[in-house]
Amino acid sequence: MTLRLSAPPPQAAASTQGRKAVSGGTVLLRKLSALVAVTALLLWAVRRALPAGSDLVNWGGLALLDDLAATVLRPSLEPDFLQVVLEATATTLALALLGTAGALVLGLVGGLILSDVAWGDAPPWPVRVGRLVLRGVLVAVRSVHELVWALLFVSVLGLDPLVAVLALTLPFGAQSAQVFGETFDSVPDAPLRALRTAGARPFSALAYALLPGTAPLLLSYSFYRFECALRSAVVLGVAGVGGLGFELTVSLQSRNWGEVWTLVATLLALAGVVELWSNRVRSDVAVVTCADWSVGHERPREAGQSAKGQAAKGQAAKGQAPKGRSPDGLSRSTRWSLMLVLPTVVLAWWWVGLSPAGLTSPRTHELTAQLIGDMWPPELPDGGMRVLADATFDTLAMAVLAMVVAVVITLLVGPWASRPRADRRGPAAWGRWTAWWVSRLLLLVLRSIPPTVWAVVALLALFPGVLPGALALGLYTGGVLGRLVAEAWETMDLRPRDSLRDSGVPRVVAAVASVAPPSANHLLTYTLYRFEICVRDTAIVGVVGAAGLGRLLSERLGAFDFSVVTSVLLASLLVSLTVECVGRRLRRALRT
Amino acid sequence: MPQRPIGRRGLLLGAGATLLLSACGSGSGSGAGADARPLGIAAIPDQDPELLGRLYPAVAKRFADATGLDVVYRPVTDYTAVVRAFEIGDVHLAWMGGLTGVQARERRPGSTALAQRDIDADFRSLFIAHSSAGLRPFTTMDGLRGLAGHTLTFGSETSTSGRLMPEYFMRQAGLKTSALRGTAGFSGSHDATIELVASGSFETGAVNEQVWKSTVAAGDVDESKVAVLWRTPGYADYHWLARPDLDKTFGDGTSEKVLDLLLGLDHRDAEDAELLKLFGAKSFVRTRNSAYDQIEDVARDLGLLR
Repeated sequence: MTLRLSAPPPQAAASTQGRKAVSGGTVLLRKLSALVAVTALLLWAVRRALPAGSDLVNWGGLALLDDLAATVLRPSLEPDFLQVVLEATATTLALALLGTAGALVLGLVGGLILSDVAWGDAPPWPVRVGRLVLRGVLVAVRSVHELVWALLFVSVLGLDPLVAVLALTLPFGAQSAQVFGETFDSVPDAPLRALRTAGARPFSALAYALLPGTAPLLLSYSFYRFECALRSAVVLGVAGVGGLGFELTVSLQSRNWGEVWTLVATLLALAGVVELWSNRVRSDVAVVTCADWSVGHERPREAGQSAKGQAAKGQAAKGQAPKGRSPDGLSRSTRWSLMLVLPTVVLAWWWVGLSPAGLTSPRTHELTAQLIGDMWPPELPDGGMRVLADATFDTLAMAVLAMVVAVVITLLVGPWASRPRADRRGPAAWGRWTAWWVSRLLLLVLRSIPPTVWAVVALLALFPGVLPGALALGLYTGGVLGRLVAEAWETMDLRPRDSLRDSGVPRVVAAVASVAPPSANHLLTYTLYRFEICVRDTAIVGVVGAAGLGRLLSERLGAFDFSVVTSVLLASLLVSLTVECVGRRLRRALRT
Repeated sequence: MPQRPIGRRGLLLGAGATLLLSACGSGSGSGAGADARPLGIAAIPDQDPELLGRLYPAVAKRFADATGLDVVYRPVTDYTAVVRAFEIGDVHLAWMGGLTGVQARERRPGSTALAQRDIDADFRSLFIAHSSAGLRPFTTMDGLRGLAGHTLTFGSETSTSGRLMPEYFMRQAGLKTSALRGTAGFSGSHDATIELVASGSFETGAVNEQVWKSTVAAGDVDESKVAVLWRTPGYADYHWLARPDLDKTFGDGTSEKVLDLLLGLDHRDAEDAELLKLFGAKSFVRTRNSAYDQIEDVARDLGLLR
């Protein structure tokens, strides 16, 4: 459940400018064919999820759903259990923090290697080949879900907190490296050239020329990454180090719903606090919304003064360094957050008893060699290619339907979840603010409850198959997508609407004509991004949904059939790659 | 992570402190040496996992008292992870199911089954059904064929009583899983199986008899909605499994001491009785690897053992 970051790719801007002009007819044709393709995909997914002649809704289970709703009001509040929850919360926070820290280190190093700016104009060919390989490795690393990483790491490291930290660090680090690389490339490289020409050493030149310009973006991204790590840490219960994920799995397995709801409430509170804090820090470093990582900075109320608004939309930050403030301009809370980062990491380190010794021990080497030997060469599961292809298509259908659910949620809730503009007054404004709070809370609830819990609930209402998995993932993804899109909508420039209105166009027409196209663009970009993540996340709901690659994966892991596990992982890598390439093409075809 | 507001000195100090701390951490780790490594115990998370969470710290304490060693319980929520931890030596003594025990022995040859509960030599699974399925209880294995055309959920994938043996008996009766309606589900635990069948999400399910009994006794199941269809023949299930290097690592006689403790548990003694009650047993008895030969054959047959 990584939020793979969430920013439209900056290189888009460069290519827009450099691209040769296309006629209106071609654009229309492209849009039409993309529309047909998407419709066909949806129809296919629905057909696959709903085999003819089977029941859809489990009316018998609905009664239990009712009982379940009643238990929400009776969470377990036993002192013993609350003590356990408190400790688990600390562990989860510590794991998320350490995982994020590791990911950021990986991301910085990887990002520098991947960025063009760090290498100058013409990197030597070994570097170019190396970067190509690295890019491939990074895609492969992040196409595997954290939970699967954790299971693999348990095999070589044993029951060690390092398992949970590494399971977060690797996929998040791979993701961060890509985002950081793009960020580095998006700032002007003149200062760097100047420093290098003046004789500065490569490392100092990079540190002094690149970091100041990109720091606000990186900082904002880092805090956001921590929010994501927190959500992911919750699914990792296998490492034997406790934490909320462990407690949740335990309570869920024994169907102690009172405890499940206590844990969910804790998650909710934790996620709420972390997000508020992260928002505060991010708004302080001038990068408010997630969209800002690539479109630069803009606060709604400043929209009038800032000319950056709409111009920034399609154009990435290239040549438009975000308005970084001087360190002294940071608020007290941000300064304290930054000062506390290192001590907190140390504290977290001590709390979970992390020791890197596991990485270098001879046992680890031996077990790694053994695991690789077990995993290679890959073998097909019983039933051969057909079984694997079936599972792959189920996974794809599940992800497509999940995105449908998520987009519907976003369309229904998203508009209310965008921060109200400050220009309204009176009772209408109060109503709007209330709607804002309610919808933000709703989205928070949707994304704070892990998909595994949603899946168990969905299975009470729906018969097993692709559908409950899709619903569970869709509810969760809806919470994430709704928030991302709502925040992107906040940054939208309203001056076109105002001009239309001022020139006498009716309010509704003005709003639809000026606001709809850019809104749709944001929605589309984030939907494609989340779709890629959704494909990966099917691994964890596949089990309950009794469908897809996730099902196959957990079954083969249970039988220690690692050679088949490899082919399942390869299949999901293939899906990830395909989705990423197709997504890129679609974005290009539909770009306004 | 960019650290702009922190001065260079602060950064260096912080980094130094981190290094020092991690050095201390690894220092104490290696200083303790392999001999002082605590004896790890674990259990497959197949019965009420919360109960396990209460039970095993108590077991660890009794083991520690009996052996004079430092014993820690390593909680794990995943069957596969328990076997893996046992295989690589993070866990030296584990409460395994029939199948997980066989898997662990396959991956770490020379491991020995020490003891099982009095009920484990003749363990049973139950097939249960929701009232709406319209299925009547039956007395012979052939009755399983009546499940064709209905939905069914197993427990965890590598559960002996929740998956392996029920599927084996289904095969014996000539009922293929493909004859069921939809694919067979895997609920993840026995409690979950009972809930899913009680809710009607699945018409039928296969469940551990002991868990079913305790759930019924606790009044947690509506017996007007769920009924037992059939009780399977007996098979060997849960047992304590010891790694081959247990005595070598922790001193000769360690496994003897553990075995003596387990076999000596007496339900007339208050403290012992509490432990036995948590295990749902009256006593522990000696067992050996060969008791699980049938499980091993079935596991190979079903592709759960390579």
